[in-house]
Amino acid sequence: MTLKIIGAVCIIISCTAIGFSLSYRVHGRYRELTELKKILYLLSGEIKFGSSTLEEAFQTVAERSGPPYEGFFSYLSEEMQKRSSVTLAEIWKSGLETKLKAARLTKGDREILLHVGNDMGCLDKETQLKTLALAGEQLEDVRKSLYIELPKKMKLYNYLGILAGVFLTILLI
Amino acid sequence: MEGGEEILKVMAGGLRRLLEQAALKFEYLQELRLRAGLPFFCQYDGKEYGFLESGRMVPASSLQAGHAGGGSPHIVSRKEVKETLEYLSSYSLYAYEEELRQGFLTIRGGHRIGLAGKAVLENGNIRTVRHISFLNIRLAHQIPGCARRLLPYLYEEDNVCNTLLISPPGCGKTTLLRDMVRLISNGENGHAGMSIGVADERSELAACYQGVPQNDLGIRTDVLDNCPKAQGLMMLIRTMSPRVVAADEIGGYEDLDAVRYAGNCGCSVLATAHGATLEEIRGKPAFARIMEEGFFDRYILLGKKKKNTGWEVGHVRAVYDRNGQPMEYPA
Repeated sequence: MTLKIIGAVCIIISCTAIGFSLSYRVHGRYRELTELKKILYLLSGEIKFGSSTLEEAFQTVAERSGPPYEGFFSYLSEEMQKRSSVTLAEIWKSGLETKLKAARLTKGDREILLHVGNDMGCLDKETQLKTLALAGEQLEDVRKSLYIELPKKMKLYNYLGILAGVFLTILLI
Repeated sequence: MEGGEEILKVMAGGLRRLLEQAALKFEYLQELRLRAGLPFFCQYDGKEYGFLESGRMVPASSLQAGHAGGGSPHIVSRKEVKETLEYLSSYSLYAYEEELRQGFLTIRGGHRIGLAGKAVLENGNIRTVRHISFLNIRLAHQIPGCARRLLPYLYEEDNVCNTLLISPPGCGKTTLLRDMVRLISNGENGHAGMSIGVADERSELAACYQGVPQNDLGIRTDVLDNCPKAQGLMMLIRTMSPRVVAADEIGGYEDLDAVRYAGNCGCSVLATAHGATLEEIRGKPAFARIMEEGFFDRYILLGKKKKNTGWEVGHVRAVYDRNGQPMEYPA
């Protein structure tokens, strides 16, 4: 009987932990989207007021942003310096696949980012800034809807975790 | 290519391979020309060469006549021009909007890239250049000490003379001015070093990268990079209190007004101008007045000198005093 109780407690605790980690992941996505929005502002500022090249702007962003983006932007800057017969869009894509693999962004978020990479390096500053502004707006829409859903989703994952643990315990007993 | 890593880095992969195979010596390489759909040429030690697909460099004349042994010439593709342009601009053409408008950009190392394609107009002015298909990469070379022989002409007692370097394009006036700035800034021949302000409109003198000069301009030199010469000179005088100011390729009334302003503020001026003779410069309305006023104490005329393998640039043809009378050179 004691063993059964210990087993039940273990199941409930682990299922609750899974629920909480899923809830944390949703919150993590929100934080990453907020950070990304800040980065787009920073990039726009570097381009508009500093007339920086993307190589310099990415370097600055890498120094001023936190994980997971610091690795991504320093990777972009380093790869651009190599001049190894690849386009910026290709470098951006490979960075997205390797350096932001562990990020909590969804497929849709990544699509928006991929488009940003494809539109980088325009002929004039105005178009470049508009491209970044458009991506910023799209991300803001995603962020806003996530913000509304966030408390509900977090609660849902938390309760689901606990309930799944209880359900599994009943089933096994 | 020995010593030309900066240039190799900005060339498209295919062209980089050719330059590496040709094993060129960077100090002799003066110019690279890329024209979409046409052969790849370079100016090397005063002569024009083309490249074969095999990586061999052959005289341009034999390439044109179609009897270059060893294979077909390398034709520069549109993709190669585009790739080179991406590298030149660090994938950021928008950051060179103003430079594109003027038709050139300067990269790390002070190398100047001239470009041509389809000009886009707005209200009759060039807004930008699209479909860039022609690139002319002019390599900047620092030749430390090349102005040393001119030093005795640059000083009167302990003051630097207002000096105008005159030469046709490609004869080394920027290189010479750069070295003059370096020598005066550091102090040579028993003269104390002086603080110098350089208005580097096209980033050719100092070749600043993120505000830091890549070329040696001496230990007492302040550089205002990428700023129009006239405004730059005035700003330097007001903010950095230099003893000497320097600017490359002056020509307009505005430039000469700024030069005069510098003189009135007690600064000596070192400048360059396009021209083949002193008379040609005197014939330009903007210069005529300032020359009549006797503003410049020295006029140094540069040109090319024929040598066995080609042309030697930076050759001092004559030095004139403020009255336009030739001085004995070398002293």
